[in-house]
Amino acid sequence: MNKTNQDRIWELGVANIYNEAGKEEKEELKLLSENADNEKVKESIAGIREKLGNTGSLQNSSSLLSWEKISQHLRKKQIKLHLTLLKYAAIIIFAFGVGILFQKYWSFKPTTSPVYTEVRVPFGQMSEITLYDGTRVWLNSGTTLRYSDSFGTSDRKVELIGEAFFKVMKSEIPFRVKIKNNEIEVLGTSFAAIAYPDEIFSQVTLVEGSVQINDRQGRALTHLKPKQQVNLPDDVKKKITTTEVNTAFYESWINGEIKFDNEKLVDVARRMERWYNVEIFFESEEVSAVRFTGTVLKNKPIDQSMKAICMLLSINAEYQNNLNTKDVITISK
Amino acid sequence: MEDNNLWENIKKGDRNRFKELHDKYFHQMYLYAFKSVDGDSGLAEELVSDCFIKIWENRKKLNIETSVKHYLFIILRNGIIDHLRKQKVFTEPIPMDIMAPGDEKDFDDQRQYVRLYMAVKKLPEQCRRVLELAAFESLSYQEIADSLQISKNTVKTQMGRAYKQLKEMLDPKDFNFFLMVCEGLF
Repeated sequence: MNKTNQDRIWELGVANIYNEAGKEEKEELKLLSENADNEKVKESIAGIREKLGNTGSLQNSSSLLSWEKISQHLRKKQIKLHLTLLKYAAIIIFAFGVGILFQKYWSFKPTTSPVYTEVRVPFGQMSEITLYDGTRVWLNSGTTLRYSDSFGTSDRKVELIGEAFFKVMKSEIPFRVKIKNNEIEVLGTSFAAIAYPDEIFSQVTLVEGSVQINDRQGRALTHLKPKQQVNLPDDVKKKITTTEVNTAFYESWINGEIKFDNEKLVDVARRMERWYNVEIFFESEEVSAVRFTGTVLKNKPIDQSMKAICMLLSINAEYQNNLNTKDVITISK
Repeated sequence: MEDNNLWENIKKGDRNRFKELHDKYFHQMYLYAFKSVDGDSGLAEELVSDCFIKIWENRKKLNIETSVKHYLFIILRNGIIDHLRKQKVFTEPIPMDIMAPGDEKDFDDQRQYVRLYMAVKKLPEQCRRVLELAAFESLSYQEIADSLQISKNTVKTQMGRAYKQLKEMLDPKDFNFFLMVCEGLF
């Protein structure tokens, strides 16, 4: 049998079953199918298609996470055992302690509702913080990170509005990040999250380790592997999609660089607006769709970066310095 | 290692063997649970994990004389029934008949699905991404092309290649036989 012919029948047969074959291709397939071996290929395709339908559900399963949960439980069990032994010792120490304390302070602390800490990074700046558990977070321009004062003791929950890069310290307590409609759940890993209110989606990019994406109720939606990026539309009815990306573009900014890989100028502009606290307009749609690949250094003033981009793409940028409002840049062909 | 051998070691408290058992059956059990709870993936995974926790806690009391696999599925089934009972306590009786796990044909099917899933994971990177988007996320060829920034034609070629490779991975025997016949002919 001819090798290319063989590949062709697989290609056409599969396209046909997914309703992707055009009229001519259908006829070509018909011709090829007159051969009995090719007829068999068609049967195989149908069989695999049917099985794949039953296999898809495994896509949302993770043997790794299941085991993680079980072994966590086993560990808890061990701790409990130690605790029962410790209990007796503790009772004795506690009895002494209470006696001493009563003598010293005869007062009770009022119970308080949780207090939230909020870290806010204005446009044009970025910031790096280390949380109580040792987790490091880089906050990009125009970002707010919020967490309660109980962080690190019973849970590790933070809320993110904007863009941040996380290096999560490994611990048995899951680290959870609330973003828009979703929640990111990890044990210890590095990932980037983007959830700006003025975008119509949020986005998580995994650099190493593994993360689980939950819905608002904390139910698992999907898992990411290193280098995968998930796009979560704000409109929950829309499909979430996962793609493979070069993670360098999502972690470079923590070192003061923004890398762009063949991105439309309109998207480049949106990031530069936040970073430099300016407004960028385009004179035509045509110029906003020009694609740019390159690195913008944060410590360079914006006019220098703009000049470089303009020269590379042969476009023009016009500046308008404003005293009380943001500076405005207009880009034209 | 054979299941019964594994089990002997698990009874003695060997966690590594316990993990081996878990990894061996996780996907099959997940499929079974997934079907029984109307496709709630988070819940299905939880039911399987809970089943293993139950087994570990009772390992010393359990005497498995028949097959370990059947035992796993029985415990899982009980867990599913418990769960459904809690949910549907005042509404409807539990449809017991759809869930008997003992059927060898079901096991066979599950095993095939898991094998296929593992085969999908072994496909070359781009091939796998394309196939997953088409088969699991029901994207059209054009949508896949857009999302992976490749041409629609590449999607078509990769889909054909993916299916062909899956077929070869799934029946290596048939394929070898096919090669033998070819060699015999020429």
